[in-house]
Amino acid sequence: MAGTVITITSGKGGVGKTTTTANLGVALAKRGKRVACIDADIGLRNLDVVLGLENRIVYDIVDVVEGRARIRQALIRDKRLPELQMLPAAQTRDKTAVNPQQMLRLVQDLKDEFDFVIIDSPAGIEHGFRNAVAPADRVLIVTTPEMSAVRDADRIIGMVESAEKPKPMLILNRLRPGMVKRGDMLATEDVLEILAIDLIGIIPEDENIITSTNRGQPVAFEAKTQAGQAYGRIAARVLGENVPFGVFQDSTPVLARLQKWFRNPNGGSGA
Amino acid sequence: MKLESDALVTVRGTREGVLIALGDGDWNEILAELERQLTRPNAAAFFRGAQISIETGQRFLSESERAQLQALLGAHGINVGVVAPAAPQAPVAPQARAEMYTRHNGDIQALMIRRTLRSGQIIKHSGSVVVYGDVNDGAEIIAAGDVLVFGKLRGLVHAGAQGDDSATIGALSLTPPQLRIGGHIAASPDARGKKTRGPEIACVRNGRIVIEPWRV
Repeated sequence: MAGTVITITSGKGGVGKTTTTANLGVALAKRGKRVACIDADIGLRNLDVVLGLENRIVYDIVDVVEGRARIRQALIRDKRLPELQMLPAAQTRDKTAVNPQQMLRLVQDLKDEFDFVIIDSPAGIEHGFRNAVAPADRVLIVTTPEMSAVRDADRIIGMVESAEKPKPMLILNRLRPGMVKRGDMLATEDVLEILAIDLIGIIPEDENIITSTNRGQPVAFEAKTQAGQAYGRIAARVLGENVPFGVFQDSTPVLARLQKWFRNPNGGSGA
Repeated sequence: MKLESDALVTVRGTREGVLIALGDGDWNEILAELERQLTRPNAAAFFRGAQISIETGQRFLSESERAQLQALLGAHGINVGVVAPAAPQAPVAPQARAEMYTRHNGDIQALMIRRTLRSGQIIKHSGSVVVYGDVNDGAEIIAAGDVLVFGKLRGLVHAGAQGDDSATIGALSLTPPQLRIGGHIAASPDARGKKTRGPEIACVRNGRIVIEPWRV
């Protein structure tokens, strides 16, 4: 049976596409699915670093498309998780090195051997985005609870619709429950109300993401972290399981919150 | 959606070359009409070597519609330079727009849009526009007549864009960053935040745009 192609995109940069791709890949692979992650951000290669595979790159996506390497040679197998493989982007070229037809052909080859092909889309609405979306069976939109990111997500949803893809689903990233409670951040309902698409996951703000990205060890490996668990739940929903959406606590340690309170006992929302 | 007099396909010469304007009718009828025009005896000579642009009017072409169009034109040896929604240029000062609209406001039926307009999508119409859905932040509607939104209006709307100050803008929830009616522009006061106030309608009174509860 042919695998499913999932494209992770957002419009705006820096909202967590690459982190999501890496962690969803890990979470699905941990459940025994064969997963290929493709970095489609040609010229701004990142996925290799987040997955901790940067020192093993020999060939990249442009080498495959231009016939210098076979796709088997370019794929890098994750030693921690043999079900997971990655196709890196080229760092020395730009988005125009690949066109949507070439992406379709490349992904078609992978679909036979993998259960899931996850494509990390570049930011923007131009050539790179079209490359990433062309082969998609499902599109997941990543956004943060900020107006600028939500507006860009809205634009992208419109473009995904006109590309005649199934209705995309939403991952709300970097949510800070404390700020939402104080009314300082858009709540999940606010974002869904604007974008009018279904939610597939909420990732709380978690400092572990930064350390894990720097170390090349995605949080989805750590079952204890809030963000890691959230990615696990997204993987379950991708597989069609019905998993309730978690209620998150702020990850600020209790002590720090007490200290803040002692310094400024009256100004509730001053932080 | 419009009067019968509205041609499905209009071909006209412009300074830049030949412009093919697609009307608002059924897509298959439009393709058939375009095919008919392209197969006319002198068509080949007329189109040869010309710079062709396509104006898609109020519709957004889907990928497959775009492909159909390009295949049809390609079959007649025409390479398309630009496929664009009507007048894709950036917003200009209100009055400067007027010449885009050539028909009288009263003769034109309203354009009905049965979906949510998302950021980056733009609707231009020479009559009134009615939206059953939301108009999101970053979307634009420019209409010579009134604009009614049966949903939340968060995008940019210009009613009476031909210079008609009697046009109105109504919405079940009216929270746009800016309103334009005729030659007037009003920025939303910052205080107009999240509070829901129910349906409201905006119009021009004594040279200023005012917003009031919408009671019918």
